[in-house]
Amino acid sequence: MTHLQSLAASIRVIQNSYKMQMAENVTRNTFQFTLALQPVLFTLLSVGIYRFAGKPDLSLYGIIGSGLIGMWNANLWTSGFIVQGERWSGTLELLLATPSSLMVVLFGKSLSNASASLGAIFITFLTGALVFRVPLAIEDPLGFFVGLILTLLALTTLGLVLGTLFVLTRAAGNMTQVLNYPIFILSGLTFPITTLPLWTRPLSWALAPSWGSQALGQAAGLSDEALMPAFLWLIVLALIYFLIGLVAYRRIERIARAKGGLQEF
Amino acid sequence: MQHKRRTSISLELRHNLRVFWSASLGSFSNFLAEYSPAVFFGTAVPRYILQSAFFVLLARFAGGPELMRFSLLGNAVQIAANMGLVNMVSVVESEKWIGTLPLLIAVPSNKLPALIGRGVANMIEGLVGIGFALGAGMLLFGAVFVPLRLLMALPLILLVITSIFGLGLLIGAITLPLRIGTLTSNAMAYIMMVICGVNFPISGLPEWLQSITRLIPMTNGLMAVRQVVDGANYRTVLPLIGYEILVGFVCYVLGYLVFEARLRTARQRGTIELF
Repeated sequence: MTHLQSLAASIRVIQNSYKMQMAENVTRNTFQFTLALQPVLFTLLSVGIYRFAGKPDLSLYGIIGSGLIGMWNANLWTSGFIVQGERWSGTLELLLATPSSLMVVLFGKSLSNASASLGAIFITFLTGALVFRVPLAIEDPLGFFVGLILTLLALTTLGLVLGTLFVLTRAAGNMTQVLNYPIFILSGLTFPITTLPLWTRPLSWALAPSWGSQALGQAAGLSDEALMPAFLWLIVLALIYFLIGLVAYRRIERIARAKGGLQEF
Repeated sequence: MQHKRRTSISLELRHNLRVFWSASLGSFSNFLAEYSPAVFFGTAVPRYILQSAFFVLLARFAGGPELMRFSLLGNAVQIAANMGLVNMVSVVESEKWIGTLPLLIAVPSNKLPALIGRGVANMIEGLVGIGFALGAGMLLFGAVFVPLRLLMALPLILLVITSIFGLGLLIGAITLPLRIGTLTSNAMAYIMMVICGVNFPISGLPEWLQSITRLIPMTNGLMAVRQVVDGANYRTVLPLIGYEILVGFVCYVLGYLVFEARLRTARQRGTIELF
């Protein structure tokens, strides 16, 4: 098989796993809740707290942060359950044994979750406009759109890393629950990371949602800083996550093949 | 005749207590099977602490130390409330997933002691969760609570959790023929975080919503908890306690009636297996 044929085959696998995941998501109540209702409730909570505390000017920041929380939830939650779902259905080993790489399948599925999770941003903006009458004037719509796509890409690759690591554990569900809030805290999604101790700063910088929040906030006009550094960080992080995912996947695949299965994990 | 009736009531009570005890033991066995020490301390405890820390930091940023303290207490109680709500619903829902619902329907005993008993371990877990969330919040963010006042508020916290179990029973019963019980209870837990005075006082809500939220378990109880923690005596918060008991009681009665009605309909139509 030539490189071109192999690439075409991988794209076909991504396309089909994307479609398959989308079909599963459409019928899954949990995903619908995570995508549609949770962003509304987080917006009500964060903007409600700002307004109660007499800081309505922070409403747009709260809306963008809640949207990213929604995107993250839809991404991480479902990525955790992609592997768990395959394991429960008894198809994980079969997927690993197929000539197509499991990582390509996971990428297609993570991309599907990530693109669906874009709806969360739309829902939070709608909630802000309808409930709190927040004027939704985005200063730089093009920058906002580019920031959103880059954030999406970085979240997909991060979802891929987690999805790959979840192959080795049956506690993926518990782990996703534990991982959610530290990410929200460290990424400064609803309060600035400057309110956190200084030693947490490198952890925040290593997380794509931090830069996503920064990029979207800047594009919306919440600060005057240049957009480009945040964009570059998102690209670099997406590449790093992808490489980590690739290395982790190869190692896991080797372990699984050496042990003749994944039953013991 | 009167003696005979008294004996029969006493026997019934003893029987129900036995069912409750046995279900409670079952709930502890389930809990221990699900949570090994590693899973409990590695996933559950961090979750209690981090979930509450997120909202506490948000409140501190928005409203300073006073709102932070408000949010810490609210979110600590909310952890237990959430657990009670979600687990009570899953107690009802799990009967059908495990396939034991037809057996539960067939037994001659009252179902209520069995259902409530199945949630006892989660009630204890909720109290432990409050301890971890409050302790960590006090250590990490310097929030000040007088430990004795917290202890004094413990019966009220138990009351809040108990009345929320009633709401869980009601949601579980309403959603029994559907497959969205856990989801509904999760959504309700989030809604309660917004409107029940967990993160900001209910005075921050529109007036029409304030009246509605007083009809939901936890709102009145949490207000009473806050006042007792801040130095009020029980006599001052008696009306709030009364409201909480009333709201919780109504939830239990409605939950039980709906559950029985659901089972009756299922028996008549022969649709128990379709739940």
